[in-house]
Order: sequence, then structure tokens, then C-alpha cells
Amino acid sequence: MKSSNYFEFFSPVKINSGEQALSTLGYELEQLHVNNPLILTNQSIDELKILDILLSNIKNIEINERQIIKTIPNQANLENVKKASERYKELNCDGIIALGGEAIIDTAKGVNLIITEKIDDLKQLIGIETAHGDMQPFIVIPTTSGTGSEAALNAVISDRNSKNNLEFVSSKLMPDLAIMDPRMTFTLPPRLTASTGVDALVHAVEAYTGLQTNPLSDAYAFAALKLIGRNLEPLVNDANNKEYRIAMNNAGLMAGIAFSNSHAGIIHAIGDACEKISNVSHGDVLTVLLPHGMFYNLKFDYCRKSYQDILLALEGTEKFVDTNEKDRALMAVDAVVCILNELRLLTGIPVRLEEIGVKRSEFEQIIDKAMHNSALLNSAGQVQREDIKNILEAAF
Amino acid sequence: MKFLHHLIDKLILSLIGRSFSILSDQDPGIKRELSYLPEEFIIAIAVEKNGRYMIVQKIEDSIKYYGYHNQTKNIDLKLYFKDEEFAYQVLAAKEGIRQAFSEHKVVVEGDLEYAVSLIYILEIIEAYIMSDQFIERVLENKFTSKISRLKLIVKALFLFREKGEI
Repeated sequence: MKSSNYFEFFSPVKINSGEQALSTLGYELEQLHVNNPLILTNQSIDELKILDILLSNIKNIEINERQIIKTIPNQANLENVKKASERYKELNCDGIIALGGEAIIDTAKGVNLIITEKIDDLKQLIGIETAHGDMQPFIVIPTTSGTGSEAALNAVISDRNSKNNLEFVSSKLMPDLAIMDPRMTFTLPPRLTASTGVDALVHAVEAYTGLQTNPLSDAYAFAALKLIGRNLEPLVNDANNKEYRIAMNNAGLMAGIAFSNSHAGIIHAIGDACEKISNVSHGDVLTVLLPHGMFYNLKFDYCRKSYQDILLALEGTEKFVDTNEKDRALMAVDAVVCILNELRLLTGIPVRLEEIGVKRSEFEQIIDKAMHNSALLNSAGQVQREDIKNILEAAF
Repeated sequence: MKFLHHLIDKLILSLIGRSFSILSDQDPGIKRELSYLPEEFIIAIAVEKNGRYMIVQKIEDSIKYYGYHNQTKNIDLKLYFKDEEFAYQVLAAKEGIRQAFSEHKVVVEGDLEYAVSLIYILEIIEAYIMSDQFIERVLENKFTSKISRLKLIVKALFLFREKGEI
């Protein structure tokens, strides 16, 4: 297989990360000329008083209740995007703030598309690079880390009528600003912290081994892996530790930038398929599939080379030097398995598909779905149905 | 040189469309991917956004070839390259469509799952009409031909394109 000799890399998001990062919000709104933002969030974020922290940091602007939509569900859908867009127009808003996880961020991306492209039906823009207008100012304040949505150029929005997930991929979807403040993610319990951390780990690993791997995304993925290797387990042990939390927020963000530019691969393709067919959680299924996907990739030369770097990032120089060159790729998989085992001991994250509710009778449907996931085209080799079946069987 | 590339792009894309129609009844891989697409599904492919689109439609599990068209309304899936030179790399068998897709050289308007099906189909068609070296270099999977290259090309040349409104 030939590695790529051409790449595109795009990451225009301004990032304010760290302690008290949210206090820059007033200044940033002014810089973006936003005087009347629409805030998208959900009820639990309000109950956890995270919304209050946000509002206390918006100075010189009056926010009324109607500018805050607290009813965004756990899966972005067309109806909510439409309702939020109507509210945006009705209140003459001039910017969007997404406070929450992936679903809220994806809903906000959908609103931005509808407003900017002046359309009624978001389905007109399904696909890759279908948006062309100048987008509305858009600020993302994530309350989970690991998804990388704050730096991702895609949005997945479900159509309840057709029961399909609509995928939008465009560099225009990236926010102008992402604010990563540890106060926003402190409330994550250890189990969810482990799960979102593994999500970031998968993003970094897949960004490193896809067909579109390139020096720039590699730099982000490598840095993310280093942070994950040093901070994920300590953070799960001490979920309120600010230092570890900031490090993992940054890791999730960098892994997001990496995989947004060099795509996900076979692990995500199968994981997404399991999510859709067996209705299992994204974090759990990726946790189970990660070592099996990596093991499958060991048969490709360039993946083995990339995995050597993964060993260096996760385990450090000493272990890297002490390991025979031909064993380094395998040891990288072993390092990942060790991380997962530690996390299982601490939080009970799953190791088998059966454990999370995937049924063997669903395999054919999962394979069909995974084969038609665009991430699979970016995976090493030309993945066949049989390859996916083998991974599913091994992970079952 | 640009004109030559333009000519090659146009000819090969037309050959791909015609071959798609012929192979839709013969190749099991194409049949399987076609079964994934809805009935009366219309696909448009161009070498660049503002170029003419080669249009095909799935009707009763077969493909009808409509030739090149300017109007691209009622299209379910549109695929074009960011630049004609990118298209040339793929159509002149210097790079696989999968690689071009991964490298962000391809723009897709429509459902990405269907786009993935189309890319699998294009790979199979390329395997039929391109050289054996290309198959070996770009397409790693096992490929079993159901019709000889020469026979396919001759059949494709004599294929009538469908007339009328799309």
C-alpha cells in the first residue's frame, strides 16, 4: 500500500484552554462582534450549575431566558435543529454558543448551517463540503472531553422520520472558538472519564494509522497520546484533579484535531455500526474494539511503523529503547491493553461486546453498516467483510 | 497537456458510466452494492464542480446510462473532484478513488453511506477496465473478472445512452 503524498490540514479554531479559561468569554464575544448569542445546552447542565458559571462570565451583554435552549437531547436531530434555528431568527441572534457534549455541539453546527445557507431543510446539505457561505460566529464550550467535537469538521444529525443518521462534513462547521475550562468537566464521574479518555485514545491511534496520516495530524496525535499515557489513569483515580483534567481536555482536543484531518478508521467504522444496530454506548464499544482493531492493523507495514511511535508516546523513551525494534508495534498494542485493563479494574469498563449488549445475531447487519461507513475507506488495507467479522468474533 | 488530460477524463468517465451499466447485470460485487441503493437512485459524477455530469440511474437493480448532462437537479448523489487534475490522477489510473477520497480530493453531495457504495463500485469498474498493474498496485482485494476487458470495452462503446428527462 502506498502512503499518501498529498494531504489537507485545516484547524482554524482558536483555543482557550485551562484554569479560568471561561473568564475570557466576554472578551471573545466582543472580538467576534456577538451581542445577542443563542445558547444551546441541556437540563442536566443547568441542574449541575454549569450554565450558571457560563452566564456569570458573559459580561456587558444581557441574556434573556428565550436565548437559552435547555432541551437539546442526547442525539442531535433535525427537529431540534429546526426549532433552534427558528428561535435564532426570531430573536435576531448574531452568534451561537454550544455548552455541552457532542449532541449539543452537533445541533449547534446544524443551526449554523441552516442560518448561513438560508435553507429550510438541512437534508439539502448532507455530504462533504456542501456549505459555502460565511458562517455565524460560533463558540463551543465542551462539558465532556474525548469526543473532539469542538475541533471536528463533521456533525451527525439524526432524521427521526427515516431513522437515518445524516452526516455533514465541512471545514465550515468548525467553531471560531473552543473554551476548555476544567470547571466544565469536573462533574464527570470516573467511569465516564475513563470512557471519554478511551474515545480520545482511539481518535489519536486511528489518526496515526489511516491512509491520510500526515506530519501535521501526526504531531497532534502524538502529543495527545503522550498526554493520555501520563494522565488518563491518574485522572480516573482522582477525578477532581485539575491538572490531570486540563491535560485530558487538551488530549481530547488534540486527538480531535488529528482525526478530523486524517479521518478515523476501522475501529470507528465498526464501533459506529454497533452503536446504530445494537444501540450500545459509543465509549463502551470503542473501548472493546480498540485492541482488536489495532491487532488487525499489525499486518500492515506502515501501521507497524506508526505503532512504534505510539509505544514511544504512551510508554516513554526508556521502554521504547529497551524494546526490540521488531517487537515495538506489538508492544504498543500491549501498552493500550494495559491501559484498558487498569481502567477496567478502576471503573469496570467493558472488554467484550457481549458484555455491553451486542448480539452475535446482529453481526451481519453490523458488518453491512460498517462496510458503508466512510471511515472504513480510510483504514489500512482494503477491509473486507471477513475482516470485520473476525474482529467482531474476537471482541465478542 | 491540460486539454489532453481533459479529454482523457471525459472519455474514461464515459467508459466508466457505460461499463457500470453493463456490469450491473454481471458482477456480483456491483450487484451487492447496488442492492444497498434505493430504487430509481440517480448518481452524477463530474471531474470538477462546474463541469458536465455523467449521469446513471438505478432502475430495477440495473443501471441506465444517461451520458453527460449540464442540469443536475433531482440528483440523489453527486460526486466531483476539487480539481480536474485530481480527477485525472484517478481516471488515468495513477491513484485509486479510495485514496483520493481519503485525501479530501473528492466532494460528495448526498448520503455518505451511498457514496461509500459508489466508491466500491467505481473500484470494481476500474479493475475491469484498467491494467493488471493498476489492480495489483491500487486494489488489494481479490478480483475475479466476469467479462474480458476487451469484450467489456467493445460492449461499452456500442451501448446506447438513455434518452429523455432524468
